[in-house]
Amino acid sequence: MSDFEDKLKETLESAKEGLGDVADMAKDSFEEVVTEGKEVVEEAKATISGKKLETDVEGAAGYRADESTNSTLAIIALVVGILSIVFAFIYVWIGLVLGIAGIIISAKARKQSQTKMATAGFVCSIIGLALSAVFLVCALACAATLFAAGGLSGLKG
Amino acid sequence: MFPYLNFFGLNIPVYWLCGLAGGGCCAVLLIVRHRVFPGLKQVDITNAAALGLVGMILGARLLYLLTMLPLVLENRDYLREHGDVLKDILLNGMVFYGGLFGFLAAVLIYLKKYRLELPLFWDYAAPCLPLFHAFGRIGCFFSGCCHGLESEHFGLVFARSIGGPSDRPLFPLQLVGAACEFCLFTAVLLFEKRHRGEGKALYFYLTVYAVGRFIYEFFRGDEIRGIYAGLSVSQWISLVLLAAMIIRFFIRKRRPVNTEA
Repeated sequence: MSDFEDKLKETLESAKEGLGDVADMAKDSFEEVVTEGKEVVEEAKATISGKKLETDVEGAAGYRADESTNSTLAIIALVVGILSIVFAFIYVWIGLVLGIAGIIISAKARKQSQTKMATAGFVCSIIGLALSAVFLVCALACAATLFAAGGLSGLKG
Repeated sequence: MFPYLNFFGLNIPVYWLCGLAGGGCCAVLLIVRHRVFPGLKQVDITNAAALGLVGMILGARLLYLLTMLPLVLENRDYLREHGDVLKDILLNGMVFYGGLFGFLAAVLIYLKKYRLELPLFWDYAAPCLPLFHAFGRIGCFFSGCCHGLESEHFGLVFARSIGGPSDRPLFPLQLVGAACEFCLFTAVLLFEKRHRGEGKALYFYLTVYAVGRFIYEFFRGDEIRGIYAGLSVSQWISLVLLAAMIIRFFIRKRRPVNTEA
């Protein structure tokens, strides 16, 4: 009986020792995995950042090229819009034409990039067009305006 | 009636003030409706509206000049001697149908150029058409143009009319037209709500308007708008528009429906 107990104790001791070794090994492996995982994540981050930087640089170059075109259109739209307001008071027909042209140009500029200048050109063109239309004395929107002409009785048909 | 409003010495046509009011109401309507059309970008809406306005003015003037062309050619000797009459003919006048088609054409060109969704936009914008037109008809009332037939019992004398006679009572057909347009606006809104996203609201409006306008023209008293073979220019255009809508309806009906496998 005592032999059996001794043997049992011995077996339990060695099992305990073995389990402790296994636990240490598992812990080491886990730590190793975690460390390697962190390294992979860092590497991935670096790769992504590098690619984003490249894209930013390329995008910036392209953006600069587009921006200059967009600015030109926006500037033209603003100038035409302001001129349409001015000419609405001087020579109405020119104001009307400039207003229409300004709307078309500023619509294109706004579609490409919504800059404040393009929006300002848009608004100025609309104001110029509206002012020109009012000053043109188009009081009626129908074919019966000939009564205002005073010469209706002389017309045939 | 009340064609001009004197503002610090400047005679502003009341017609244009009505147009401005109509435009303002349409703008409010579009802003409110944008909640149910979130897919449409604000820049596209404002661009299309402005370009539509340009198309409307050009289209309305062009059609007016086309309708006046026979009269001008027939009276070219007289107009050569009376340049002021010719000037007034050329500078004044617009036709609604020309404005409508000009507006739709300009917006369509913009939508096609930037490959935007047409049915969605037409559903979004369709109620604005009768709303704006209603204010235009009120402007016609103040100016005395587009009047109805002579009527002793229901007529009004447009004392300061600049678009029609001011010496006899005329039926205020413009107010009837405005009321009908407000009803059509309500109908288009309800129709669009029921068939949202199908792009049918615009075609509903065009169909109903063509029928209504054809009947409405029989009560107009201003013959200067042009009568050909017993029908006015607007009636002829209404017939063509109605035929186009019917043809479109049958073509769409015959298209095969896409079924899932």
